[in-house]
Amino acid sequence: MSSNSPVIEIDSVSKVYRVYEKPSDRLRQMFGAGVSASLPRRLSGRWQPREFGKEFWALQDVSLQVQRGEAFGILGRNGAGKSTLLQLIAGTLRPTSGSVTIRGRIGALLELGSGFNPDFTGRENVFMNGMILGLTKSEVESRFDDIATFADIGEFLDQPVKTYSSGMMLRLAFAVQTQTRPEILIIDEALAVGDAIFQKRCIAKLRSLVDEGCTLLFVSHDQETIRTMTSRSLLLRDGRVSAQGPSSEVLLEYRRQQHADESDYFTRVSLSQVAGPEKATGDGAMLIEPSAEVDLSNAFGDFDAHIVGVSVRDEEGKKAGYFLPGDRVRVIVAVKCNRNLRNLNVNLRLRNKEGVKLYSWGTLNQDIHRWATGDAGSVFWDESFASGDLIEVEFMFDCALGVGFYEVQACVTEERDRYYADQRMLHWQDEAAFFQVGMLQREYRFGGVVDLRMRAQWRGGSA
Amino acid sequence: MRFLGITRNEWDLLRALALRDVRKRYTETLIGASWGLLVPLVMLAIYTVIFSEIFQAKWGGLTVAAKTDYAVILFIGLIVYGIFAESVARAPSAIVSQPNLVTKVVFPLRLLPMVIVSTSLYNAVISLVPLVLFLSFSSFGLHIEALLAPILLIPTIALVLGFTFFFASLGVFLRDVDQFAALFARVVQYLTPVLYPSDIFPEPIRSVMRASPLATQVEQLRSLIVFGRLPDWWEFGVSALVSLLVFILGYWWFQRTRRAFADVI
Repeated sequence: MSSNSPVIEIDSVSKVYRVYEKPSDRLRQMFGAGVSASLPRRLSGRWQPREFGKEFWALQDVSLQVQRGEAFGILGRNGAGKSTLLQLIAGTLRPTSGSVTIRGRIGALLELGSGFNPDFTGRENVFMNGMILGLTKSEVESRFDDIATFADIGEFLDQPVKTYSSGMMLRLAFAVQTQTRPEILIIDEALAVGDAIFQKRCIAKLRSLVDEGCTLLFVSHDQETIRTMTSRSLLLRDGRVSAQGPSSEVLLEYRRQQHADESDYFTRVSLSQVAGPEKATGDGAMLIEPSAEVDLSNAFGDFDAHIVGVSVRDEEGKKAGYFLPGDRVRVIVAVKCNRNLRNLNVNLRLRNKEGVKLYSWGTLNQDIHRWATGDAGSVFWDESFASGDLIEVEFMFDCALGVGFYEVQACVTEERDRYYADQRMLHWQDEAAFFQVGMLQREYRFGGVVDLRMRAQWRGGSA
Repeated sequence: MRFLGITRNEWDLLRALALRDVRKRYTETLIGASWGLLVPLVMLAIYTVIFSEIFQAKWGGLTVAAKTDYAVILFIGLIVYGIFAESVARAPSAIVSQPNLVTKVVFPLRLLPMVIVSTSLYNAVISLVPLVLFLSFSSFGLHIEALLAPILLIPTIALVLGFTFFFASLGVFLRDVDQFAALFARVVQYLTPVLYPSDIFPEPIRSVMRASPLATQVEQLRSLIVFGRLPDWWEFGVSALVSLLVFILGYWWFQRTRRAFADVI
């Protein structure tokens, strides 16, 4: 087999579950189909096999290819078909139609400790698990020390697995799966039970496995993990492929769908007057140059209010894209209301290029603090806006970020609760603006992502 | 590396699973593995007392004076029948009791029925210790021909495997199989000359009994070990052929239905 053919190749796969009333109906279904297939056509036309059980399409026409050494994410809400897809890839289920081609030995963490027998010790289960993964006894023996070191559960290794906490179970299962060096590793939302240190170690281990050429298939509800771990992703919705491509784009689509699903539940109140569906353009923005206009392909929301521009400026109010630690940064968000609105919250998020959220803050955060300190004089939440109004919110901060490239995300929400309990997204904008932070290495420097403005004091010495 | 179509890895797995199966039965019990000996010995004692009285210390045409001699005759039949009965009784739950191995991992499921048969073979081997003891104190003595016993057992193992594969698969789909397998084992017990020789029956019944491959195998093994009498190879061949057929059918059925296990477990 040529080395550049994809290690996972799934071609228009569908999976139908029949919900059988009785397990014996499954047997009748199988032999009904078998009998009609084996009869001569003249006879089988007349002999209609009865269908047993109700049909449920868990997956429909799913295709995907994953290359060797790629980290691939799978996203989707509960019941979207993620687990079915993973089981098809792992080989525990067979597709109803389409083909699944796997080139390489698979290790799968489908469910926590699923290969473990609770009555036997960790040590025995390591051997059993390793052999289930396709190793011989002596191969497991030679890797046992590595597994034990990585799991790091001490004397529990010789206790029955039923005495383990879920975290310990995960440690052992993960250690076996990774130390047996599978060519394809499937991780299904399992890491969440581990403690922070172990999670960090797992992520590092997964990275090094991928670097060594292992193909990783990763399912998680944690969007940040998907963003940082995987390069490409697939979004499933009701058993169909809803989006596929670079992880950041797929994640945006995922959030857009989540939002759409949420607003289905949202009962619209105070529909005093609905403005016409006039498309807001950037023309109303006073401070905002056309170049700062937002790209709606990176957006979602109800668009009852519209972010028409986001721009990053320096102390003097000039457009800027480069800052040094300590510099004043101003971010101006211009919002246009498309109907009468109140209880608004304009929010910013800063993300570094690894996709880690560094900070988020909004007008409501300021309002909350003002309520708390009794300084309710000017609270943004109380302001009312009419349809067509243009609002400009200026955010100010002194740059305390490390060297790097930063993305600004902006959003406008309607907050029916003062403490974020009931939120409706009006407009969420990814990649609203960007800026860079540098450092004058001979004047002021620090390492890491944030400047904690440390001071040092000392005692002692000969003076 | 493959042996009998089973990879090295699968052999390791089979051995580990079988060891685990044996140990699971006796962990957390007071006298542990001794149960494996105690139960058959007690049953043997009861059968010996009762059946030697019923048949007035006669086995076919042979007068059996000593109770230990009678016990030896019964014991061999019980051991061979035990392999069959234990496997068949446990077969229906072989797959159902391991849902994780069916739905959560890729696992060679055919090993599970094989594990059950291995465990019952292990119990049979344990019983060899008292059997040899009884034999050496009996008036029959030890015969060199008894070393052929493993060869006579090969068709029996195939037969038992065939039934175990079949019931293991069926047990996934039909919950009645549990009851049926137990009943089936009981019926076979009375069809098999375990507690009595087949020639105490008149002709039509005797032929029906002889048609069962297990009956032939029990009788042949008994005359080999007790009397040092070599089997009629023609009869042996027929019973081996029937056993092989049962094995092939059972295995075929198992492999055919295996894919549907995950849909109903």
